[in-house]
Amino acid sequence: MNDIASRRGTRWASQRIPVPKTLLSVVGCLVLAAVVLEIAIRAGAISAYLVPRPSDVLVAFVDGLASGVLLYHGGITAFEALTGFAIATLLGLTLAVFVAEIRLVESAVYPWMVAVQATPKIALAPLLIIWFGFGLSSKIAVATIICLFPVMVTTITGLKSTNAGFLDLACSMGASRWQILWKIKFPAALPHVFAGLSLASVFAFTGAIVGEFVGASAGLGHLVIDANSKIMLAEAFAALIAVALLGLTFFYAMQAASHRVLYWKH
Amino acid sequence: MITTDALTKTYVTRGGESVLALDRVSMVIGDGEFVSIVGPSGCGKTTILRILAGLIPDFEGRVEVENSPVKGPSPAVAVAFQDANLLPWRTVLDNILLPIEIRRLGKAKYRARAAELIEMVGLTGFEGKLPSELSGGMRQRVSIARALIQDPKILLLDEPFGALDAMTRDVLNLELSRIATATGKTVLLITHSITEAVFLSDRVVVMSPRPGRITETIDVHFPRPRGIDLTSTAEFGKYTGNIRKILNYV
Repeated sequence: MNDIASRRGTRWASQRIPVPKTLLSVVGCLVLAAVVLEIAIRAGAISAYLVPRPSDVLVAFVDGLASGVLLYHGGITAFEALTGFAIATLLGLTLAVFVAEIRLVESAVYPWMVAVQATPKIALAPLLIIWFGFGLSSKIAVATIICLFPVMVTTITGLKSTNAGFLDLACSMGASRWQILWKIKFPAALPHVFAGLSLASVFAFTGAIVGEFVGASAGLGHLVIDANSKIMLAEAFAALIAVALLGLTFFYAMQAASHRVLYWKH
Repeated sequence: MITTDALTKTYVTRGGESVLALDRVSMVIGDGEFVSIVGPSGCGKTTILRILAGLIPDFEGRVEVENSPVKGPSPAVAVAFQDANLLPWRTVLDNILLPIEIRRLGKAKYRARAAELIEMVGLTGFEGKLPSELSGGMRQRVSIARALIQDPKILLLDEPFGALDAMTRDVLNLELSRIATATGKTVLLITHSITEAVFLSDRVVVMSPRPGRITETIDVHFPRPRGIDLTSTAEFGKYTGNIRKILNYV
């Protein structure tokens, strides 16, 4: 009886706090790693010139937030990444519809898109700086190019994999090509589209940071480069953590949006 | 009314061979008649249905629906397929209203009719459910209601209950019989089940294996409404036995 009671107790507990439990384990893992690192550095096992003490990073991060430096540069990076993401989404969806619907466009445009994708975007970044200047627009351009491909390819795949039965049904009702696209193919492709958007949500920050690395006077990427050049490793790490947090937040925001839009999948 | 006169359909395979799928199929289905086509797999019975639905544009011979030649999908014809093909992101009600939306007939005007149909197919209370929340039988009920929403003259049914278990199938056949009688639609049913064909139909068309030809047409003289007990009578057995013999003989 004791056994049953205790089992019931644990089940009740796990049902009651499922989310905090995972959050707790994630944070716990982080704290443990930080503590081990801190001890290793303080004990001299790892040189403090190579890796900053987690406590110093924490101080630099809090200072950065308090002084507004991280918020300012984070805001700029976020703006670049999100704008690039938005442009890539609009452009990617539009191109995908043309590629999926019109065979001539597919044969003419698609190989070029693949060629652009096959080129490392970092190799394009210096060119984009020349074309779009040192300001925000060149970083937005890098983010756009990086995000475009996953959005486009997943959408094309989605639009082309519509259940043949749905298409027969729509045809038998006399649906126009336009109606088939908007009432059948596009909604059916949304799970694919959101898979692409989830990928792009992470790539967007990579794009913005790469752009800032190549040449910028603001943004978290600029902050990392600047702190590195002054060998202020704690500040560099603080900026990196800020990038990671931004990317993470946007990724989970996309997941939440996907969950809402794809209500019928759950 | 459905008329086919020497309907012939030839496919060209990927290898470039031409295959005769339908060979001079001629039949007339009068207003309000319920006709089933039975035949072995690959006899082209589904091809007939798809041609009548306007889904296959190229064929030889004369094909008329409601006295006008078939040139594409017609509002007078509605189809229910073997898969219910419900759009998973739409509720039961919105799936039933899809043909109205596609034909731009004004959804608001058809809400009352949709409610009637939902009641007719026994799904009252499920209007707001998603297809994933329904059983296979319920999905086919929605599919039938959707076919009826724009009040077509002709209902083409491509084995709509083929994927269901035997008990659900019996229940739905009873309801289909009742609905067909009540609404007076002209119905063409494609099926593998001889029992189903005899139970539902005024006439059963038996087809031969490829190339698909009509082997025989059998009139079924049971009065309506028909109960499920009918299927266990000796006379019913004579019909099914006869059709089975024709199918084996060919």
